[in-house]
Amino acid sequence: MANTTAAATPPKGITRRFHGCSKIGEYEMIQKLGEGTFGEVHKARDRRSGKMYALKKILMHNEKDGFPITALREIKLLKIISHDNVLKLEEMAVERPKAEGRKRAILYMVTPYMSHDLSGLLDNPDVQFTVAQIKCYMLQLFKGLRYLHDNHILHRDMKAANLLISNRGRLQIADFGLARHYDEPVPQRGRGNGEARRDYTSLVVTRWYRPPELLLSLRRYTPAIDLWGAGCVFGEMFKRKPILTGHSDINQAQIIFELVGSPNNESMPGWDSLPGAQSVKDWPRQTGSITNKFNMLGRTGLDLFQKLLMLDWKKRINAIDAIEHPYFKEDPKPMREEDIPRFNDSHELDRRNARKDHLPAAPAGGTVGGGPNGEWTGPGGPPNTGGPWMNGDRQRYGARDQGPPGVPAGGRGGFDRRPPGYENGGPPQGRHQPDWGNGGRERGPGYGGGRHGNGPPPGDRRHILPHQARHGPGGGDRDTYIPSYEGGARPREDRRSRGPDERPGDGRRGSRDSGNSRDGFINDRPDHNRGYGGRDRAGDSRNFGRERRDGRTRSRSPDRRDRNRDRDRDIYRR
Amino acid sequence: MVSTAIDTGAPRPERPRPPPPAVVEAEQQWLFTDEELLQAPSIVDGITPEEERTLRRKGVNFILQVGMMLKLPQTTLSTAAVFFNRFLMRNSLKNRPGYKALHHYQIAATTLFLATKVEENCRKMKELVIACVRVALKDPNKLVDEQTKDFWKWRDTILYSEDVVLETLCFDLSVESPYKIMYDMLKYYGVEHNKKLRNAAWAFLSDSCLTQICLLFTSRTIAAASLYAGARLVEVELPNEDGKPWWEVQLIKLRDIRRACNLMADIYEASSSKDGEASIYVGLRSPEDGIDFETPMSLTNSQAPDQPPANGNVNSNDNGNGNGHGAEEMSEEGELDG
Repeated sequence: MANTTAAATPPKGITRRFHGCSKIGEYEMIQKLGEGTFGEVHKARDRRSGKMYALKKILMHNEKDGFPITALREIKLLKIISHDNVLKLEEMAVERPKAEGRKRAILYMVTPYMSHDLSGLLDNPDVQFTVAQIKCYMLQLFKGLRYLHDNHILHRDMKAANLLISNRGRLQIADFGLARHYDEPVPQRGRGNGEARRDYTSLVVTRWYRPPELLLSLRRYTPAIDLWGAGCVFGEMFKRKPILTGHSDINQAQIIFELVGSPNNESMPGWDSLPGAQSVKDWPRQTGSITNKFNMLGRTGLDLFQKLLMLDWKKRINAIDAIEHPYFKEDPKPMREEDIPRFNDSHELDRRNARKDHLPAAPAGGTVGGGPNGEWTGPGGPPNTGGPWMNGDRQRYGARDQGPPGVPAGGRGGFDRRPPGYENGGPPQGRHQPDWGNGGRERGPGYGGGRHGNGPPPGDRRHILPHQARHGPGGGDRDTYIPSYEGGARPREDRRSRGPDERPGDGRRGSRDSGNSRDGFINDRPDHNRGYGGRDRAGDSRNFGRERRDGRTRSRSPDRRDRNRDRDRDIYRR
Repeated sequence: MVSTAIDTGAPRPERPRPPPPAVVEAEQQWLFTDEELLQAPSIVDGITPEEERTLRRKGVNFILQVGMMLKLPQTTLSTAAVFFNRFLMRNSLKNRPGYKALHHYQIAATTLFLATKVEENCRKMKELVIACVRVALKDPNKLVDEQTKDFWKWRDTILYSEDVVLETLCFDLSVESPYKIMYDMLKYYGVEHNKKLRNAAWAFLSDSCLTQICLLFTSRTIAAASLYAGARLVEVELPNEDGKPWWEVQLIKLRDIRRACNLMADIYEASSSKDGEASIYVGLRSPEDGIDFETPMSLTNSQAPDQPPANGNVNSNDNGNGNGHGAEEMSEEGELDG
């Protein structure tokens, strides 16, 4: 390809240009957009083309396991996909510290800069969505999902905060930190989402968007899990807030059944043999209130909605069929992307600031490409606080926890760059808790603040958010441009409504990292945590009943912690 | 819309389809011409092409040995070998002023470390390091622990070289596994239970790790070539479809298969001459060109005029004990029972 000089001539070297990784010098940093568990996010201009990008720094200080495996996974996946409705990884950028000595490089993921995320937009009272616009977004979402599923990829973290929206009306699916390859045959037109033949970890998807089969611990799940999330997003666009905001996994299952009716052999064949079904059997029968609650969708809209929120994962509509649903063919017709009104950035910013005071909770977790702006950033810089403002989560933590006993402060290896407060904090005991019930806790309104000191988390309140941690592994990865709402003081009230997801997760994750992982290595391991931690992300929810309890103690006892970690690790492997 | 039909029964195999464009593009940037292989950075820096090839072999051999010690699957080792070979297309093994080259073993260890993560076959860092020390010292039972000086040296090398490797590889981490492609082809033709065929094709693939074949052909071509060679060896004929020979259905050109087979054949020819026994693989070579593409392979089978290897691995004999040879045997074993 590149040059084909005769072999006989003196070697001149290979002249081709390799693409995929460039020096950080090619980019001009414009502003810091946020700092997530896994690194800072900057808005930057490419000097070569003048285009704007979001650069997410991957932290790898002291990593004992080298470059975080979760980041490798995400990069690998993002590199093999390309679709208009999926956030593209443009390339990687490397910054080599000038200092002498062997210093490790700092690596950035470069993605297009998107101005909003859906969750942020829905939070903005000034932005109104018309039905035609909602159809446009949903169609784009389904096209992105159809593409992913057709390429054997499960996203596993579908939610409004992971849907980025450009100022041109383009919607893109972001955050592939939990995504994985799907080994089964891909969905076919008219045939639902197929069946899986192997087990996958059920610790995925942010709680509020988690489908019933995962809540009941089905391991052989299918692309149908992403469609459930899409259904939740669909409803959310009408209600302007997440529609199923369970404060624990059990509660999540309860409210799902309240909405769509209790599972039975007809609506969800095989449900009673799922591992998590036991407790559900005693619950009162529900007939479902979906038609009343969502009559604003119209007849066909409701039909699509019900097909997305179908309990039976084998019959849940697949993305191919969803695109062809009559809903998108009838009036009002889906708006064209280019006709979607632009939302003013500054506007957004204001809103964000406003939100910060009042609505602490939003989860924004944007992710990789995240919505940088979307969330909060703006030209103004981070809203609140100074340094640490980064993730809200973190901040909070900092304040609150002190760290696990015995662990030297500061040791946190993982994510190093966090604000100091955070760092020290070890995981509080609470944190580890399993997610469960409290899972959300972190994020929840509560996570707020310092309220819980080190102690075990208070049981209640926390839940508010589901937490899923998006960022999984350790927080590490996922990052998000998370703003600081949290930082704000007022979190609680609002929080409830929206925010769980994201944040909680983080927090938790974070904690986990610090906590759990710590066991072995006090210092360096950020990665490790990160990496493996990832798994946890989902973890919160994992078993309904079981673990909650020990969760509490977990943090205290090293052994347990270890064990846990190993377990996570295993899971990870899947 | 939602159909009630549930898939039952074995799904029909999906028809082969080309890999996603992004993957093709990434793979393309790592495919070179024969001439370009002779322009590799180390050669530009004055290492002779033969020597360079030997170093590559030694590096891959290192990967295979460490990999076997860690019981890593062959697929992971093959990915590591690809990373290793790609790395050497951008970085030199020779020091220059202002540039401190990595040793080929160091590169090999780092690419293996990366491959274990990429392929989701992680090993504990400690185990990996210990295996590297043992292989490097050629003492498989050496007592190595954290007190050993070499332990830390290796560990640091691996950790510090990782980002250099990542950058050099442009983060092109998705190497389509030729093993998987080949296995899919076997399944496509319903012959995945033909053990002889499967083992033969698999062994050809594994052995090809020691060549630079991954820099010349796509994984798909390499997979098809191994299957082709395996099918010939065990005399199995794969069916045509709609009048098209199987390789066309699999989107591969026969000419590429032939070229790839010849490259693989070089390994065997070189090593068999060493033992003085006739290699059972000698019949593998066939002219790349000038053959009627329609000719069924059973006909092209017999003629194997031994041409001198195009870029012969002649010097594999040079390393006393036949580094290369040993590795071949080992890798083959490793593979076959997998």
